[in-house]
Amino acid sequence: MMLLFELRAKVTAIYQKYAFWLNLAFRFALTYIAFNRLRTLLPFNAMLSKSAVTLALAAISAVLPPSLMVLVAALYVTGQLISQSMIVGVTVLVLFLICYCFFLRFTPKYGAAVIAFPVMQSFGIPYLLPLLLGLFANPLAIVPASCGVVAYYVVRFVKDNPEMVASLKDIKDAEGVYIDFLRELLMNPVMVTTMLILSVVIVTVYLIRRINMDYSFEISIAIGTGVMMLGYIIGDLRYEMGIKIAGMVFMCLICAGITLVIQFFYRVLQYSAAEHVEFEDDDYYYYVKAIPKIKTGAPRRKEKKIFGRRRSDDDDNDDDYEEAAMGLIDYSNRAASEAPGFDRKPRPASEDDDDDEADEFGDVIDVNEFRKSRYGTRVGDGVKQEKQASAKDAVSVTAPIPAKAVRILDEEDEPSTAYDDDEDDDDEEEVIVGFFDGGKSDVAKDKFEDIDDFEDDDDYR
Amino acid sequence: MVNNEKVRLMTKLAVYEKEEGREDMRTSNYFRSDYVRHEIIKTILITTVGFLLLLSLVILANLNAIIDNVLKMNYPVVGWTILGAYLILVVFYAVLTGIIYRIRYMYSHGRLARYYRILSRVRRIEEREERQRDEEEEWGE
Repeated sequence: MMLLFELRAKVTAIYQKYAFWLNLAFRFALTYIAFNRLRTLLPFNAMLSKSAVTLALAAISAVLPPSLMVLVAALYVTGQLISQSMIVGVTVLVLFLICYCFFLRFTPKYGAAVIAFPVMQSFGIPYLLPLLLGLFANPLAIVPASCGVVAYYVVRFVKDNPEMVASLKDIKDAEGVYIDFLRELLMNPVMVTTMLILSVVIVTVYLIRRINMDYSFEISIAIGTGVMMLGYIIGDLRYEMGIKIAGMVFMCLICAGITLVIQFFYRVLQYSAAEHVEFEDDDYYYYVKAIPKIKTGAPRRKEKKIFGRRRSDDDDNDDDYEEAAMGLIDYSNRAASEAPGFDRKPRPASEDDDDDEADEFGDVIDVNEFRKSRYGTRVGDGVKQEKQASAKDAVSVTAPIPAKAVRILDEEDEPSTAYDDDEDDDDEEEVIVGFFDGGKSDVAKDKFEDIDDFEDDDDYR
Repeated sequence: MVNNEKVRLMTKLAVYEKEEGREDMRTSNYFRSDYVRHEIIKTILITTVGFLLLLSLVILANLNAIIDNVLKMNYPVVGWTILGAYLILVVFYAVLTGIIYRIRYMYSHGRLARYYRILSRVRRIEEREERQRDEEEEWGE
């Protein structure tokens, strides 16, 4: 296992170094395979079938956004088909347009999935696509995946029925043949069954991997693979999809293995691409390379008890008066030393002295210790303080609106320490627990949402 | 002297501006209702085009039956059926668009709010730096 982690670290390091070029190469590989496959399936137009043209189109598509990549591929197919039969070409173009109008418009960023299905099908691994989409996308990815299935079966139908396409060369001769062609094209049960199986697998994998449990990704892959095998077996029995069950099961297992490997690398690689940004202020031009910190394992949830705060600026006491008036701070639950205007004694040395957060906002002790005793001890001040508030005032981690804790995130404060934006302990997720007024204030609600926003923050180094 | 904290915040701002920021800024030019309405109108137009294309394919697929029954067809019923199907489709897509773009606007608004919060922190740092500079100048004199 250690070897795998080392390998992943090496791959990550290489990826961080060449992220831009590797992404470009991957996109180029995908588009080149797609266009090359289309060229071999539909070699009707002499010019479009030249390898140089295919290469150029693949190169252009690789740098285009996913939705335009699909458009280029659709136009390529149409161009090839029009050379063979105008009617068939226009019909296929209309089908692509319908797919765009009704479906693809809402999911432009998953456009690559449209091309991915035909590409994977040509390698005999179409089972990989729903597992990947379920793991790394959301159920909306059903739409482009289904469009990919339509595109694949349309092209395959044209390839498998050259006589029918040839008889549709002239509109005058088309008559009934065109109607048969259209019916068989649209009412293909194998195509519909495949779309159905893909959709069910995507949703299954997505729902299971979202469950909050250990190994949810691995379990979702296993169950998704099982559902897919079952779907294909039922589909084959019902509609004779023409698949060999043993081969399908074997390929499904291979695809599950590939998905596991991709999953192992993906979560690290996804966030590890370096960002190059440029900006300036009055004094400098900055050319920054920001490399996201890689977070491994689940975030450690740490509860902290915040009794009060210590502010360095004298004029901040004015804020206390205002907020006490607004009802944001209820001083009845606090020691007199915390009241506005009270001159605090210098804090004696204690074990918390190295805690930046305590310096900024007050003193932090373990909430479990606190709960045990039900009497708080101000570690920082060295003042033993009887807890006047009842147990219900100490809001648990899941309590909805902690108003007084929010107080420390006043707009005028520097909130960096409060939401744990500190670079040293980045993998920790903090929950602030304190004496609260039950979240009566709307202002307090808004401010607590600020904390959540920042906790999700990605940091760079 | 480069202020690390400021660079860190400005980097976050720059990364955001480079990626989602552009689209979010464009979205923020609209009120939510205007933004959603604009997208719904676009969807209605696109759905209409899609429906016409689909209808033409269906007509072509059933051309034989249509030609055979061209004189016997009950045109008002056919017309109302097509119109009903169109309206159902358009209403479905309009509602879907309304939901999707409302959610997108909400997320975009949240990201922008965070962006402006970081921006205000940068501003405060700059103000502090300026104050320090002024004080240093005073001491220097």
